[in-house]
Amino acid sequence: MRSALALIRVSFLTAASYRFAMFVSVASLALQIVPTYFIGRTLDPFMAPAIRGEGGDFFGFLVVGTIAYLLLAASVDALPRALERGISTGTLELIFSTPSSTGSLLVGLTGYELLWTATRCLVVLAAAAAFGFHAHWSRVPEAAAILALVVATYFGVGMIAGAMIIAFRRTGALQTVVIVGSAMFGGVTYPPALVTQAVSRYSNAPDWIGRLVEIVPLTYGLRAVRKITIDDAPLRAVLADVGTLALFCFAFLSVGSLAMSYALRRARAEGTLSQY
Amino acid sequence: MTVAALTSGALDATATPAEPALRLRHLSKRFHVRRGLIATLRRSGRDGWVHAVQDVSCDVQPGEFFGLLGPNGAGKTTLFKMLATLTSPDEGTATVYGADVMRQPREVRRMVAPVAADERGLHWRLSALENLRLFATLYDLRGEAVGERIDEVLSVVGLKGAERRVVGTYSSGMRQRLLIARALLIRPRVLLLDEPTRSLDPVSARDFRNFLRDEVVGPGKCTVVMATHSAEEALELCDRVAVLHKGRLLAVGAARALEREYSDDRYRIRARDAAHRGWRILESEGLIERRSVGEVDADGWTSVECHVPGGRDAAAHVLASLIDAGVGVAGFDRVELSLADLIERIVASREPVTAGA
Repeated sequence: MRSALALIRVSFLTAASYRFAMFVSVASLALQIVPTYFIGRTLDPFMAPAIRGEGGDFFGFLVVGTIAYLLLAASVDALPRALERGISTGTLELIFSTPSSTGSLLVGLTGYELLWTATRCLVVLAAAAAFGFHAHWSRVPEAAAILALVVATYFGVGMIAGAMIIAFRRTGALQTVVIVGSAMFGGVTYPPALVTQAVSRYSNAPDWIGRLVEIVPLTYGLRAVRKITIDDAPLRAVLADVGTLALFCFAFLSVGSLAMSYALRRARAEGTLSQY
Repeated sequence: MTVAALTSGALDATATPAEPALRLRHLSKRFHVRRGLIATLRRSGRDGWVHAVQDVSCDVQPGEFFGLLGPNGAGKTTLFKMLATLTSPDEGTATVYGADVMRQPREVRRMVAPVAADERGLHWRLSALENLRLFATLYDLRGEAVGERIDEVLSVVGLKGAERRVVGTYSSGMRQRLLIARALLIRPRVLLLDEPTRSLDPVSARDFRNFLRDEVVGPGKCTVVMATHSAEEALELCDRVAVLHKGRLLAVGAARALEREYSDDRYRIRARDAAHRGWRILESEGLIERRSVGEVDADGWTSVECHVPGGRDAAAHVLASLIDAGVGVAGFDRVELSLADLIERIVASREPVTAGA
């Protein structure tokens, strides 16, 4: 744990040394709320029937979707990027030559990115509140717990991508496919049900495309968070979604851990831990 | 406080006094040679392997300064990486004070501090202090003593006063010192130095060697294994050296003893008359073999290189004979064997050996 905190601190100090980039990162997010607000309000009359089960407020729908997307992207990207950076700077080899456990090192390498993203989410939330986003604020802790489960689930994907970096130095399009696919089918900017309806009504595409929404963990996490924060639904109303998300989480983290463990063993066997 | 105090703290731990600091037995490592796509398509299934380390057996004693010599690609860095648990051996065993690098890697990592040849591995946007604090935590150093120890190692490597500067503004020498400070921070029982003076200027390199000799290594202190291409380091610092070639251990011994063993008793004689009959007499008696005769210089002296078999007594006899014969002699110096020559001769003459095992 101390090792993880020390690495998070170092990442913070490094990021803080790029002050302008830090400022732009926050400011751009806050400004992003302006178009989101106008788009949300403009499309609200058309979208309201489709999102009735998730609060019925399209601006709120988009705000929650944006927050979940930021967290999802960070969870998938943080570890492979940190490993890539560590390999190219030579720091990875040295931290792996210390007695700290691999788990704490991986958490430490990604912790800052995830905490920073959480902070940026708070900025989005604050800016959205200033524009009239009404949430049931007392339910935010429950929503945060579900979002944490989303983060853990996608961190599993990040571990698989990280393992590919260690083993092959490249991840191909894995992160892009997962992030874009989750955004398209997981309900970031429109409800997943629209995808299913669109496929069945307006195209000759096979049905299974419409069913892709069911294999995207974000679908369940976002639906649960929106029901809780916008609709004030009771916890039992989202238990099925949370349970499915937990299963995804367990599966992805297990596969991610196995992949990472295999990749590190392979890198040690091939002597490529520090090759860049 | 000196590094002696910084490195001696760990010596009362698990190992018995008789246990070597490092014990390598039949250690081997080979790497797959990667080929380009076209080469693979042309000759599929004919991938090669390079044997980085082959059947190396050797002991290094506690407090010993042990040098690893050999040309590039000899296997020195691979050996270091296996000892630092960063690369796993294919065959054989390596133990650090009894802890196996494969079965007890975390114990090994607590005792071994690797210092790489390059300056990578530092956080360049952070200060030296922050870099050291990070590694103190990663090595699980706790308490108020950590700050004190950081101060001590900074003083020892001469970075006190510059510790709050961002590492990116350091010179190469300063970064190298910081790497050493980071390694010393944990009171290592074994320090692995991979060409530590490669990026240092000659004065800094000399200071660094003095620092190693005076502060780091010695009985009751730290065991140092150093890969080097420097004759000064091999001959002046190391108690023993090992010569590696293509992954094989060819010779182990005191550097001076190896030098004597492989030296061909060559002398450079600065003489007035290289055609004097005294030379021919000595040659006919088998006392010298002239190898080269230089040009006569502006002052009328010539440099003659001779092989003088029989050691220093024979050399003294040759000198006396030349003078008795009337040859003017202004200099009579033994030609020291260069490190390159030493390695070349060992490689040419020796079969792989098992040393200290």
